[in-house]
Amino acid sequence: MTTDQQRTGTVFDIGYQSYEGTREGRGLAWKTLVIDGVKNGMGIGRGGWAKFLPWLVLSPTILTGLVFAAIAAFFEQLGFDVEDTEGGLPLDLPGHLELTAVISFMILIFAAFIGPELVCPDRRNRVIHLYLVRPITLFDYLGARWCALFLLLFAASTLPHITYWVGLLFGVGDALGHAQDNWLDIPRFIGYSLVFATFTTAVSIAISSITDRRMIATLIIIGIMMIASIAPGIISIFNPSDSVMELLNLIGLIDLSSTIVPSIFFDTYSENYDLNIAIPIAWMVFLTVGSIAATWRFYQGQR
Amino acid sequence: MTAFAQPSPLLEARDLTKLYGNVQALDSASFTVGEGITGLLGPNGAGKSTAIRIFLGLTDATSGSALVMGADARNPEARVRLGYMPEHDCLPPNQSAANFLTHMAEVSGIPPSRSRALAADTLRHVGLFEERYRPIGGYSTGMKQRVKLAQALVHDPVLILLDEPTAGLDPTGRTDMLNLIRRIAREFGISVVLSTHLMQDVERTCDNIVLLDLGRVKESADVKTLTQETEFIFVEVANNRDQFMAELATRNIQHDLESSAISIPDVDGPKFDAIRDSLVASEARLVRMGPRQRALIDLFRT
Repeated sequence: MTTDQQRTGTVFDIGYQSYEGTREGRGLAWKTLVIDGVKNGMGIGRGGWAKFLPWLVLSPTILTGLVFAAIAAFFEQLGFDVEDTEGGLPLDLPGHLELTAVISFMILIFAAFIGPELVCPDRRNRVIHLYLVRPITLFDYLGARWCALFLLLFAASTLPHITYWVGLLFGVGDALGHAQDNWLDIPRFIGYSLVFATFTTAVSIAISSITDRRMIATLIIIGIMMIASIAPGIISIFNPSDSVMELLNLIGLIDLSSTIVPSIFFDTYSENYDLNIAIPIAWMVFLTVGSIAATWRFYQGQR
Repeated sequence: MTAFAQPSPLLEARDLTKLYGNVQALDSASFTVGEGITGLLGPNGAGKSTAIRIFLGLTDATSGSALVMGADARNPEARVRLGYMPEHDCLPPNQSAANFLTHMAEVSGIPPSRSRALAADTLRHVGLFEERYRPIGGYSTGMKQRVKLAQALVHDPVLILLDEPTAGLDPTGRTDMLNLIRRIAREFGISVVLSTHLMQDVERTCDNIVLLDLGRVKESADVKTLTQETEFIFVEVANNRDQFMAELATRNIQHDLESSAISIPDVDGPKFDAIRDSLVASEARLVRMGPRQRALIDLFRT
């Protein structure tokens, strides 16, 4: 039985205790900033509204992969050979290239929401001043935020493909045969996702550097994507030659990232385009490097 | 892992010059900051903020060098044991103080296994332990100032730079903040640089001062020396002040009227007798008589 005397305790204030443990270097700072960026991006540890938007945009991309796989499995159950579409069978299921075209636009919208979320509040609330007086550099801060967005976009781009590929594996009768016939799709969609995530991260962070207001940055990103996408269509009114039109199509960021660049990875570029393959690659590299340089220059000026 | 030796002085400016275009923010400023509480004083445009920004590695000096605990201020490692509390708002409104401090401790290199405990301890020391899980956006100005101070302390620095820490606080909040700053230096053993234009804050808190004016070091000494007693005597009377001054003049005692009190220079034994006699002759009622202490504000006037 507990007596009153036993219950009585004393709280001692041991005063300030100096920290004597280890201090890790910039690696921990990077890891912390990347994890914080991923959490912020997905609204983890925050209110319902912060979670709602990213998942609203991201869910359809993963669902698309699932739906593609489910359709394939359904027709397989009905007796169609979903593997062989060359022989004129009535079923011509879309492949990873088509899946890319469907999900790329959604991922661009996702980037338009998440990119500003990662960098704008730090400048708006001026928390960035507290980061830069820690034992890290501006490069560490920007690099870590950049990596956080890259990881999210890479995951958003690859997950639907993985879902589709694995879904087909379980959906078709001959899983081993399917894996042997289609293993090359894996490096293709991973390679494309790496390039797409790098490009989208660079553009999204660069545009988010212009303003410290998230919604304005989001609207500017979507606006630039839309204007750049309709611009070639408007210019086509003047009947430019096919080669000029192919060049102009590179302006369309959505078309560039969801159709032209994927076709390079999925080996269908030469079937659809006459333009030298080096031109879209150089253009993509120019836009990516230019965006990174612009971001760096902006932040240098803000210090 | 970073092993960090603690050399002395904590901060050292050597011929520090900073030009912003044609504007000279710092002009060959040389000074050192040691242990204890040092006030970095000066009017607006004196170069205080520029000096702090250079020591924090936020901007480079045009010429000269800035050393933080012996290391070049441009080296991020120099900031491992350095804390900074800015004047302006810099807190994320939707995060709790506990989470924010834990995050900042980790960015400073404190392992995750220890950062949460350090954050809680630091918030306890600044008096926010009970409020630590509330979003910062709902805090009062005084509480926000304490969170700003806590984030500067959470990684157990050797030195913290405080930029106008009492800005926006009411008299009680200001006193509490200055008491806390004194406690940080005296009990926690963390040295403090207090950048402010409020002389009273410096007089109440600091051990040493560095006075900047137009980018140059005008004075650098300990506060006691600068506010030591002078050879002046202050006499304040409740009535018959004019008669008292007339009696002083009659006895050839030089004096000046400063607001309500009369200051008398170079007072020695015979002069004290003459002052006493003048008070008796004028029938003035003595309110106060004593040696005059210099105030730090006088440094700006000279």
